[in-house]
Amino acid sequence: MTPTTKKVRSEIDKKSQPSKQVSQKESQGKNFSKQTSLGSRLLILVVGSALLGLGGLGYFFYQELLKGAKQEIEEKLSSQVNLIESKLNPVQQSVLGLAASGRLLNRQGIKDPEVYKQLVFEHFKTLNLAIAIGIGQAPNQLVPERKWYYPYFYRDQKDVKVDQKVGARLAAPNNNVLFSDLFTGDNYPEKDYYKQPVAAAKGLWMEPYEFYGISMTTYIMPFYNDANQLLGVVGADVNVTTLGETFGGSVISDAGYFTVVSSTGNLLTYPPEPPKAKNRESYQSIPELNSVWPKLQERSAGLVQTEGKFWAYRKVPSSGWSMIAVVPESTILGRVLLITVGTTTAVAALLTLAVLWFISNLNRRLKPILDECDKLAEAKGGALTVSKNEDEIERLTISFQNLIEQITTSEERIKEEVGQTVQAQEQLNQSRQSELEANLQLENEIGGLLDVVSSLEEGDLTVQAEVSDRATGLVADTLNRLREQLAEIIARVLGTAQQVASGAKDLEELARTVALNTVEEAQSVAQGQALTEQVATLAQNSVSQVSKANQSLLTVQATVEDGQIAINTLIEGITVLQKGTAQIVQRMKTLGEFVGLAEQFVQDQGQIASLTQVLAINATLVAARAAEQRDPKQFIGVAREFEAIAGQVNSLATQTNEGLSVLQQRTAQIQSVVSAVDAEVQNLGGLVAGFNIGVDQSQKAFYSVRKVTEQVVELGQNVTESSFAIADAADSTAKYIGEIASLAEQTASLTSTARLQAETIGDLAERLLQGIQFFRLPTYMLPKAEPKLIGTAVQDETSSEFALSHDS
Amino acid sequence: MNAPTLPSYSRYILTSLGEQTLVFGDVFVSEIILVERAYLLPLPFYTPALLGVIHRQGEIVSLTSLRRLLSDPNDLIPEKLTVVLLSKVAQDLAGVGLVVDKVQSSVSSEQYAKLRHQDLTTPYLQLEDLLPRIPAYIWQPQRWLL
Repeated sequence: MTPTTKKVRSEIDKKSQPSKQVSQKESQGKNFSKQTSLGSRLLILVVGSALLGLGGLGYFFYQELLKGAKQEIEEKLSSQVNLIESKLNPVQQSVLGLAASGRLLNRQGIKDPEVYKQLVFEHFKTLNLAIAIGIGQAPNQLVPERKWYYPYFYRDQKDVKVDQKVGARLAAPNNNVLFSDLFTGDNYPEKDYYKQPVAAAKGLWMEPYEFYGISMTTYIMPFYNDANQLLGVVGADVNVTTLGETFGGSVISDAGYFTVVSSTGNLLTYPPEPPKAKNRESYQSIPELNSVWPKLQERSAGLVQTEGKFWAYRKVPSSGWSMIAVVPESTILGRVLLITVGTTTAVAALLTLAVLWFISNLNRRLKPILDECDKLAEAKGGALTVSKNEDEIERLTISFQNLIEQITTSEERIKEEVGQTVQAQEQLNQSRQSELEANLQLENEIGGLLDVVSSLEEGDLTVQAEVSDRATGLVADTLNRLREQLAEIIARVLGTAQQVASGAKDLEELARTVALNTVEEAQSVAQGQALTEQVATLAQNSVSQVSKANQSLLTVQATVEDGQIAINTLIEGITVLQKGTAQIVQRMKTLGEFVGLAEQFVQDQGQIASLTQVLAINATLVAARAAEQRDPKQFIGVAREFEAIAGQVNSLATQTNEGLSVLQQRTAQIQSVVSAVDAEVQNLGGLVAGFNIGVDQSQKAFYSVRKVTEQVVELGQNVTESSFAIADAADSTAKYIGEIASLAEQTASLTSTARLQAETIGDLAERLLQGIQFFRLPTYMLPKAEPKLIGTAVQDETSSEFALSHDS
Repeated sequence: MNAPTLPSYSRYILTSLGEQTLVFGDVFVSEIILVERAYLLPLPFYTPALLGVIHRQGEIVSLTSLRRLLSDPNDLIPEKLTVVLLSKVAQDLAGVGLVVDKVQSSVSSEQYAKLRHQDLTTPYLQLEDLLPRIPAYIWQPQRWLL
C-alpha cells in the first residue's frame, strides 16, 4: 500500500468516528418507544376501527332485539285477549240461546212461570264460565199474570257473605245451586242491569259491580217478539275475580303482569295489588297507570315505553275492556344489552388478540433486520440519525439511506486511488525508454542472425552469417559451420531417399497385386460365407420343417388316441344299447302278453255282457209268463226259473268283479311295464345322443388326422427341396474355397518378394542413420522406440547425438 | 200263422241276422241261451242248416242256423252260438233253437212301433214270416232225399 493510499484511508476513518459515536448513542435505545412503534399504531387503528364497527353492529343488534322483545310482548297480549274473548263468547252464546228459547215459548203462548223457570234452569246447567243466568220479563210479557218476573239461578260462591244469601237452595243433587226471583230479591226494574240494555236496545257488558259480596259483571241482552216488542232481558253473570285469576302469569322472562281495565277505567284484574281489583278501584289509584292512561286511549292497540316500563295495550272487542301488559324496561334492556355488549366485547377481545399476535410476529421478524442496520450504522456511520419518535419502517429507511451514503463515499475514495496509480505507471514508462535504445543495437545484430536462421529454417543452406569480434560474431561463425555439416548430411539423405523411393515403387506394385488378390480372396470368402449362410438357412428351414412335421405327428398321435377313446366309448355305448334293446324287447313281449290278456278279458267281458243281456231278456220273458200264470204250481216253476236266472246273473256279476280286479292288476302291470319301457327308451335316447357325439368326435378326429397327414406330406416335400438346395450350395462353396486357396498361394509368393525388398530398404536406412548420428537431438525430440515385430530387422538402439550443442 | 195283419205283442225280442233284424214276439220265445260250439253235437246226414243238438236241463234241443238256412249254407259256426228257444206257441217248432247272430234288445210294443217308424232302412223280419220259409226237409236225414 502506498503512503498516499494510507493517508486517504486514515482521513476517512477519522471522518467516520463522530457519526459512529452518534449512532451508537442512538442505537443504545434499541428498545424504541412503544408509542411510535408500527405495531402499536396498527393495534390502535385496527382495534379502534373494529370497535367502531362492532359498536354500530351492536347498536343495530340491540335495536333488533328490542324490536323482537316488543313484538313478543304484543303477541303475548294478543293471545291473552283472545283467551278472554274465548271465555266471554260462550257466555254471550248462552244468553242468546236463552233469549231465543224465551221468544219461542212466548210465540207459542206459554204463560206458565214454571216453564220459564225450568227453561232458565236448563240453560244454567250448560253454563261454563258464567255463574248465574236468568231471564227477566218486561211488564206482563212472558207471564201475563205477573207484572215483573225474573227467574234467576246461580252457583253458590265462596265469596258470598253468608248473611247476605239470596234465593233458595235447590234440593240435592243440585244443592250448590240457588234460585231467586230477582224482582223480589233485587227489584230488578230499578237496576241498571235492566234499564241500560233496554235503553241501548242491544246486548252489553255491565261495569263490574258488587253483588252480595261478589265482584261481578253481567252480560245483559234485551229480546223482542216478532212485532218488535220488548219481551224482557236475558243476563248471565261472570265472577270477575275468578276471571282475573286466569291472567295471573308473567308476561316475559318471568317478569311483568297483565291487568284488565273496564271501559270506564275500573280495574278488573291487577296482580300486583289484587284487592284494588276486587274493590273495582279506578286506574287513577295507580299512579303509573294514571300517568300513562291518556296514551293508552289514543288507539285500540299499541305499545308505549314510559315510566321505566313497557305498556302494551289492546281492547277486548266484545266487552270493550282494555288489557294491558306491563313489563319493566330492565327486564328487556338488560337481556338485550347483555347479549349485545357481551358479543361485542368477545369479538373485540378476539380481534385484539389476533392483532397482538400479528404484531409480535412482525416485531420478531423485523428485530434481526433492525439489529443489522444498527450494527451497520455503528460500523460505518451515517449522516442521518434515528429518532425516538420513528417506527420500524422509518428506521429501516434511515439505515438504508446511511448505507447508500457510505457506498458513495467508498466509491469516491476508490477513484482517487486509481488516479494515483496512473501517475506511477507513467514514471515507469520513462525509465524503460532509456533502456530500449541500448538494446536496439544488440537487436540489429541479433536480427541478422535471426535472418540467417530463418533462411535455414526455410531450407536455404547457401546463406552465411556475418562474423564479427563481438559475441554475436562468434555465434555467426558457429552457425556457418553448423550449416555446412547440415548441407552435407542432407545431400546424403537425398541420395538414400531416392533409392528408397524406387524400392518403394516396387513394393507398391507388389502390394497392389497382393491387394487385388486379397480382394479376390475376400470376394470369394464373402461368396463362400453367403453360401454357408444359405446352407445354414436351408438347414434351419429343414430343421423347422422337421420340427413341424414332428409336431404334426404328435398331434396325429394325440388325435388317434382321442379317437381310440371315443371309439371305445362308442363300443361301450353300443353294448349298453344292445342290452337296453334286449330289455325293451323283453318288456314289449311282456306288454304284448298283457295286452293279449286284456284282450282276452275284454272278450270275456263282452261274453258276460251278452250273457247278461240274454239273462235279462229271459227274466223278462219269465216275468211275462209269471204275470200270465194263474196256477200257483205253475207259478212255482216260473219262480224257480227266475231263481235260476237270478243265480246266473249273480255268477255273471261275480265273474265280472273278478275280471275287473284282474284287469286292474293287469293294468297296473302294463303301466309299470310301460314306465320301464319309457325309461329304457329315454336312456336309449341319451345313448343315441352320446353315439352321435362320439361319431362327431371320431369324424373330427379323422378329419384332423387327414389334415395333419397332408401337412406332413407337404413338409416332407419342403425338406426334400431344402436338401437339394443345401447340396448345391455345398458344391458352390467347395469351388469358391479352391479359388481362395490358389489366390492364397499367389499372395504368399508375392509377400516373400516384398520381404526381400523391405530388407534392402532396411540396409539403406541403416547407412543413413549412421550418417545422421553426427547430430544430437534433445531427448523429447528423439523418436519413441516402436515395438519390435517378429521377423523384422533389429534397429540400433543407441541414441544419436548432435555435434552441435543446443540450449535446452 | 199267416194272418193278413200280424198280431201285436206286449214285448218284442230284436235279434240280428246278417243285415236283417229278426223280430220275435215275446210269446214265441221260451228262453235265450248262449251255447259254446264244443257242446254242440252235430248230426250227420242232415242239412248243414241243422247244426246239431245240445243237452239242456235234461232235454235234447236241436239248433238250426238261420244264416245257413237263408243265405250261405257253408257259413262258419262261431265259437259261441246265440240260440232263441221257441216256446209252445210256435207249435210244430216248439222247443227248437234258432241260431241268430246276436240279441239286440227287448223292447215294448210302443218302442217297437216307434223304432219301425223311425228306422226305415233296416229290414225287419217277423218270425211269423220266417217260419213258413223253413223247409220241412231239414228235419230229415239227407240220405233219404237222394
